[in-house]
Amino acid sequence: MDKTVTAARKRSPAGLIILVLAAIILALLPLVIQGYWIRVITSLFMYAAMAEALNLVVGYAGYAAFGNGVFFGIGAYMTAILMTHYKWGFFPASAISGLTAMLIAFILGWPVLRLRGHYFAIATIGINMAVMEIVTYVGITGGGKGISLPLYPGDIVKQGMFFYYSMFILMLVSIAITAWIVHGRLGYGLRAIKTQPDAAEVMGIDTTLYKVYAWSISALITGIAGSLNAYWLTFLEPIYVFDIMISVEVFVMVLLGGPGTILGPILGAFFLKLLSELVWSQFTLIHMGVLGLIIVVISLFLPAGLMGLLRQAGRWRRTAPQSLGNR
Amino acid sequence: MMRRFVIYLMLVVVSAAFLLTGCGGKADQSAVDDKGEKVIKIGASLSFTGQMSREGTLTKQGYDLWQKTVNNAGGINVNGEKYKVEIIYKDDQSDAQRSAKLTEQLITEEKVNYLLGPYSSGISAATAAIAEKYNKLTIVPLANAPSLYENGYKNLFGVLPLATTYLNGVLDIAKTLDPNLKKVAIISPDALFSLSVAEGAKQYAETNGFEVVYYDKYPADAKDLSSMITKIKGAGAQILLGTGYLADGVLAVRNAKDLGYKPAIMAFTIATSIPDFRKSLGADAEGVMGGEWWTPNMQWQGDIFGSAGDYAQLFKKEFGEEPAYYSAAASVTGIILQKAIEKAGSLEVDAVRDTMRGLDIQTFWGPIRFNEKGVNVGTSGAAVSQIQNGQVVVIWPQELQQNKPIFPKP
Repeated sequence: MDKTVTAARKRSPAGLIILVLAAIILALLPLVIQGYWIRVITSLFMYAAMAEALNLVVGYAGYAAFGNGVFFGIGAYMTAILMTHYKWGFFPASAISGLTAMLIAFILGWPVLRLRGHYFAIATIGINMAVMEIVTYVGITGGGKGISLPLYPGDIVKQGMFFYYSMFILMLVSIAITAWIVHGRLGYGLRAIKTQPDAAEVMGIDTTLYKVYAWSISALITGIAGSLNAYWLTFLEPIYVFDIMISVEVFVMVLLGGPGTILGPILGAFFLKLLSELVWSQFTLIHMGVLGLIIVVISLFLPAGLMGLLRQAGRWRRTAPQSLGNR
Repeated sequence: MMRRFVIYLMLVVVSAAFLLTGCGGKADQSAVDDKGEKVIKIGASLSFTGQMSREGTLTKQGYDLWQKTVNNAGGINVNGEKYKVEIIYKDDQSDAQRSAKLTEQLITEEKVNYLLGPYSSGISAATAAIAEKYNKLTIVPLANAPSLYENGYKNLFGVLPLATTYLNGVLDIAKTLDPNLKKVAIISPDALFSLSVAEGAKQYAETNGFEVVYYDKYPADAKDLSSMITKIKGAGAQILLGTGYLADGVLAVRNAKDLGYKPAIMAFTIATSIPDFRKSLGADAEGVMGGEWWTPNMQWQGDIFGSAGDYAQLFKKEFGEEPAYYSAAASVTGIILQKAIEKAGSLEVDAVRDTMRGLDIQTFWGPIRFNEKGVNVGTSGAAVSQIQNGQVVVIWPQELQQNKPIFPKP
């Protein structure tokens, strides 16, 4: 654990420059691309933000939150209800949606985050299912019939830009929050909980409180992603927004990119989503199989994710000249 | 340190370049193909995988058959010039988010002006919103939830009558069979289409002098309906209407039999038109009625495919099985677009849309005419069929009747 922390510290100036550079490129990208590609990259940002949010719980606290997609659905439905039934504007609706998701995570976190390992994973799936049933049953959500949101005012170009930059900012915020947490007291506490929960407790860390904080922040980001997605897609059905596949996909992104690293989940999300986009356009009928195969190969040969691979490459390069010199 | 930085920098630049090259535009919508023929590109995002893959495949067969028929006849005639039809398919995996993305891809990358719709109303709601923003035309063959047509979209047209009218025919025929039939029970799984049908049936029943003694919904994946059936039996309902899919119909019939509940009329939305319903229920399926949007033995006639029977024959030759109404609706979607383009004499979206508004044609599917919301009002609603001796026969309306109804249900 110490090694990775120091490695991260060492790399940070170069890493920061790359991050800023990538951010500038992505910020300017809408000048050259349009339509479909705007939409594809917007969804990259959305998944990247959700993966980063999940990373807080999975990567840092070491808790397999398998049903984190529930906050995506909660955010989506809260926005839909506030905008259609109460005629709110999008921004206040979105803020309340994020806060609602956060509050629910905060309340549920107390009992659920006392569970360890598989039990917690299963409990989060249970929560996802339960909330889906509630949303289907309650009349105000439109139930199984779904709910339509108002269209974004303005033409298609403006609409594309709005969601592109909103998701982009959400992703940047999720990275910033993660970086801030990792280098702060909460981050050290979470890593202590991940490696030695009992020792952490003995050392005076309120483990449940820390985990609840991490999960709530995760829920906030995921909820806002859901809220933006709802306004973007304009139509919600419980089976779409509470689809367990959303959770699974985001989880794979975290594992693929490298859990417990700041940029890993972002990388994982970009990689998986772009890959599937390319795969889907090539193999219309067998894409699921191809995608599954790719995931298996990656998890067999890249257990530490893409960030692990990069780190490994860095280590090889560092050791190679030294050994030459020794000779 | 420096070297690694350079490598990272290159990585970023390469990936950016890769992104950009992938983003170039493509040919114009009325391009010229290899053989020098003019082509109209039409986009279709359907579900070939996922939970609606069966319906997606049936829909594609309908589109394909239309495409083949038109192209064999030379193509679509636009002011004397013949254009071949090229349908570009995309698989949305029964996922609305994906379908939205693919629709935008079809519009901005493939430059299509016309979209033939997805199967489900939920997914159509997502894609119609995008087509509306781009001012492209969407014609959906099967999505008929009323909410879809309440958004005021000017570029959306639907072939099926609204879902709310699905079981009205059953109530109509009930009146003629026995004026003492008054008590109706309606059960529905909790899903967009089913609830729309149930609400429509309830309203129609109440305005037509029936008494709805039981009305409730259940979770879409319910495995047992016996508690509902018990209540319905207790309420003394003479007519049972179920608005679910195949599994729901089978479940309701089985539970009713187990509990000794024998209504005079039992009718379901989709069950009768799918052969599996008869297969899994055997003799218990006898006398069950169903709403029927289209069957090969209906007496409709059009110029492209001939009669409904001719269409069925052609379909069987092509795919080796009887056409389901899904495929027929898909084929007629193509016909509508073709007729509108030919009548408009133009490929411009605005011209074609305005022509569609006033379109009034006869097809093997029945008459086609759109109201101001884009709903086809050429036919008033669904016909009623009944399972008799293991066969599905049309019993209502009178002019389409093949056999006298069996009443009450054995």
